[in-house]
Amino acid sequence: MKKGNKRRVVAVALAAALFAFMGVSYALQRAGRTNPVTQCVQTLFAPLQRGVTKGSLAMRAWMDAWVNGKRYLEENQRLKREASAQEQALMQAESIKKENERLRALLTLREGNPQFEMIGCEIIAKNDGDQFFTLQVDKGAESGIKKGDVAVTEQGLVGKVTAAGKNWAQITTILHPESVVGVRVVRTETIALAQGHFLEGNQNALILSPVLEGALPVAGDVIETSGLGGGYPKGLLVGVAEEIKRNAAQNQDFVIVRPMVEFQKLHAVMIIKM
Amino acid sequence: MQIRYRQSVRKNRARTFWSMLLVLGILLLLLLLQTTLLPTLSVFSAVPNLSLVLCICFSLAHGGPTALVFSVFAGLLQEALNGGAMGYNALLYLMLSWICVCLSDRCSGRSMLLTPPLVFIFTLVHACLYWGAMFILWNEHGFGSLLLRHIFPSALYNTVTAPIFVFLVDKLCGIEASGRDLA
Repeated sequence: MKKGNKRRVVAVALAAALFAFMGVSYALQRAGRTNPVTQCVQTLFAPLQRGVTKGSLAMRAWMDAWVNGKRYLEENQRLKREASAQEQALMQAESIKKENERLRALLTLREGNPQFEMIGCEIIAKNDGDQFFTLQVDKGAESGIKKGDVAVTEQGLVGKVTAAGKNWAQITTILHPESVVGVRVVRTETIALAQGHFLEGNQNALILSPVLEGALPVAGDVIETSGLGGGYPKGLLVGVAEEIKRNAAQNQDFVIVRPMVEFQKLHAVMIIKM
Repeated sequence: MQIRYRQSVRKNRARTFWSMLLVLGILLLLLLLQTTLLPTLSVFSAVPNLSLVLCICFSLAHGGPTALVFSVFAGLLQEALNGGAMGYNALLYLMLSWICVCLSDRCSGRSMLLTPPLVFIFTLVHACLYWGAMFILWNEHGFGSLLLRHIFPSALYNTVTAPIFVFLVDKLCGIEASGRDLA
């Protein structure tokens, strides 16, 4: 057969086969079925394609790092500096926001108790660390603060001024074991003394004693100052009765009172001039 | 003398067989690259159709029914990888390959010079026929925009890559050296 003829025969045969194949392929597509040839080829090619794609991506990343490494490093450092500055600004804003809330609460306290002459103070030192036995504030005798004045927050009673310098004052908190506050159980109107108590491994609390049998508060009872004895004004919130325990040696019940004031978060107080 | 002739014929057949295997391997590699790496190397959204360039180069250099079968195989493989209905692209490949084979008979020895412009023209023809039919099937408009934004840049891209394939087909496969398919 001549070369031209053979070529023609092959071409016509291929074209005929392709037309038939096209028909089958379109019929399969219309029937919603995948062409088995497509399925087979794609199954064989898929792992290779995955490999090449992963390889090319890795290569691009490597090239990118190689070409732009220095720029990325500089950009990274700049962004770190910016992030650090923004973090600081954010922290400052957060601090200002909290201070604002604190001062607003103290202002509310002052406006709510017009009978008292109050002075707002910032706590500058917590002398007994996490025991919160004594605190130091930034105002003293110059501002009219004197020994015996009472420190409060919007939450309740903090303690009493036990020393006052020119521009500082020391507050002994109600948690101090030497602190004794005349209190009253609001629900039962029982009068008692609340004394600071050191709780091992726990936040310090107050102990209410002596309490007569039958007049024992229950957990959740609110305790406030009684005003008796003249040390503290009447009606200042002290804490909430938490647990009733029995002292076997003294054959007496005592009540553990959780203070209202969160001493670990204390930043400012109001001093009530007595 | 006769023994030496037979040995020479056997040697040529073996060489042609390995050349064909090598070209097939290149085709598979090109299709793999075309579906994975090349879309990321697009220039003005144009991606070269390397399998088509290879088919044109192979048909011009090799000629004969082998080139026709090879082109149909390449077209079908490309369609299989793209998914959907098969056959039309292979038919276009067959048609272009046929023209190339006919041209290669007339322009024997000058096919290397003719290849890049032919690649450009054939890519345009292939893309116009393929996308034209698709647009008619899908009842779409705006073929002119596709021609300007996609088909024309792709044809240019193909033309740029053509010399590499001319070199590959000519040197690596040794087809020209082993003699054209004169069957």
